[in-house]
Amino acid sequence: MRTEGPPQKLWRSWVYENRTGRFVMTVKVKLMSLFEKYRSKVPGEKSSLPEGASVRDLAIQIGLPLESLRIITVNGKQETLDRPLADGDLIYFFPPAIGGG
Amino acid sequence: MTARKAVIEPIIEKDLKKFIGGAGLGGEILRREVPAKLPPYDPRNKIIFGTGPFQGPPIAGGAKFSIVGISPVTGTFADTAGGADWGPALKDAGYDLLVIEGTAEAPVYLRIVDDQVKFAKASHLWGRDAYDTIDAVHHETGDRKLSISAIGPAGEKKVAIACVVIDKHSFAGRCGLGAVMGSKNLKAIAVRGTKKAPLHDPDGARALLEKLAHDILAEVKKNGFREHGTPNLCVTAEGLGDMPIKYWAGDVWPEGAKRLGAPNYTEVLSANPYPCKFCPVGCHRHIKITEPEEYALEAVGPEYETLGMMGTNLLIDDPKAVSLANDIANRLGIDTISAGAMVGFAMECFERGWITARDTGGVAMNWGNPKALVSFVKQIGNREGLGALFADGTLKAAAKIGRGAEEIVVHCKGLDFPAHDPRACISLAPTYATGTRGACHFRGGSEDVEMGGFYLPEIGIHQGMVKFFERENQALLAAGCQDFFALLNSLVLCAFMPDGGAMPFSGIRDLFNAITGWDYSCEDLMAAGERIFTMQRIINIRDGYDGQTDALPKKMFQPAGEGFRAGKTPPLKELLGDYYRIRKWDENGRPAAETLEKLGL
Repeated sequence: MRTEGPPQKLWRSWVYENRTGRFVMTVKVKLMSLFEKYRSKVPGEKSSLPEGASVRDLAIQIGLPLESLRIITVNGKQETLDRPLADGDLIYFFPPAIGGG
Repeated sequence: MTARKAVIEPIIEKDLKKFIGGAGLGGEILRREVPAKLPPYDPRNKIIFGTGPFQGPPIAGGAKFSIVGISPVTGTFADTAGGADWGPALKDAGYDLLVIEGTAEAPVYLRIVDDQVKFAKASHLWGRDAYDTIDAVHHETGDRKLSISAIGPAGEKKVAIACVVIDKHSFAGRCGLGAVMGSKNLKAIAVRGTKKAPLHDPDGARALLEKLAHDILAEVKKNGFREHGTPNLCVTAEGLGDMPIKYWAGDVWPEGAKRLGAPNYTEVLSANPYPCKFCPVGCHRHIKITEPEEYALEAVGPEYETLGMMGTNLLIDDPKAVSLANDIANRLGIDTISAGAMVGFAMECFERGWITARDTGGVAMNWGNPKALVSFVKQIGNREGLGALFADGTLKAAAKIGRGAEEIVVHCKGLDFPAHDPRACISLAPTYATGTRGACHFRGGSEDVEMGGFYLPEIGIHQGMVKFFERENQALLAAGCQDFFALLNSLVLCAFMPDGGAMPFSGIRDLFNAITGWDYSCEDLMAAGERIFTMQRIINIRDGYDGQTDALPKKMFQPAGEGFRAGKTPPLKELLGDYYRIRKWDENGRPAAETLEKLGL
């Protein structure tokens, strides 16, 4: 399982694709509860990604701690980090629900 | 209590090995010694205060104890846990269990200091709230080091949801065992001890304790649990459809959850961690409100459960208003979960016209009205006005109201739901339906596994074993978590060490063995958990609660129109089928003979 950020080369290509507008999709991102502190990384609750990007790529782009990403939903359905994303998807990141007492 | 006499009796090792302590050992005494179907306030009923092996050394999460008895809310077996300093204090005085039987002729409180047990007059304390009582006992004994479990006016007046208040800090809340204390004319139990329970491997235990406390502290600092406590959960729980809204008829309310939960809670209420003895987590909150004047207070703040039941459940989103109602409930000595449920039920009845302003003393029981919350909590705790109608629990109040009001009560076996929804986390459907004390997430805790809060890979509870709304493995998770929590309540260990503090099961096992020298495996410990859970079930079956009562209320089959759980309801019949098969129970929910034999019951 990859736990580090994207390789530098891939990151550059993302920036390039974003600038040229090629292979770009836009997804809507909701950062819940204590993940709100990452909100500045998702202006307007939207993120742009190259085609083929997964939830993991999105989380790395935002800078979320991958080890805490246990509850992710895409379009209302629970998914894992490996879920490929599509243009217009709605993604929720919840911190783990601890202390239900 | 009747003869005002204290006797010390030994516990045989065979029972300790089978039932561990706390809820396990206390439950077994109840099973053996209390006649079937005994009314909860019968003088022959016993109330048992139990410690376990984890109350000896300074264990993170070990400042707990269990209270066991027959519940006035449900009529079933009940165990409830408290914290602060009381459990270790009883152990240090040299006792594993304290069994109270009979009824005192006039109010008394017990003062236990090592071998000395004194029955002190409590007539002058009768009628005083729990906090005043604790202060008064400290004052009149001149012994500030006494740890004190007390009841408020609600327990004295046998309000069925009365709790036990410990050191003005922690609350053994559910199932109304405070009312059983009251029925025995027992106002408080003050304890201090100077002994130390012997350990099998003191050096090994000490090294383990240091490592576990260090790791737990690091974890709760990282995940926000120490900084924000259980209010940390609100936004996530609401987002996943787990938090009650409008007495379980609402679907979503993200704004409300955000106002009530962390980080807003921490800021608005100037909240800080308020740990029990030895605890690195400090889940309880100490809060201070200075304005507005009507809400000014400095005390223990509401937990997630209270924010759910007295907050979103009532469409109240002001954490200060909930804090005031919480404080009143704490002082009067009532369970804030059931109290919130009662207010929610009353608001729904008011909306339907089944209760009117004439019944409430002129207060409009409207959704979102904090005045209605505060006023009704006072009435419930004092058993007056409309509160008197609710003195035997929500379900019995509904029966008195009539018009089919029982159909809208959200409960299992009479115990009001806590702030977790089985329509969101469907493992809770079998957990609640079969819960030995009725609907309780803290006799299971599987919802926190579903929502990513903790895993126990050593016993097969791992990430990815269940997915929201999918039946696979949900009953297995429910049964495993019930056994695990039965074990925790017998050790007695706070559930927030594994759930939030990431304490591994292997750490619990190693600590258990260093204390006892019994060389238990993880499987042995879980077998004890299963035995304890099943023993509690046997008490309930004996008293008439078999598979017929393993049910969920009507509202749980009404899906949400929007939000994460839109369109979803739990497939209870299928889940219970899976669950009975896993437990090896017959179709009536009775454990098979070979199951009992395997468990040594």
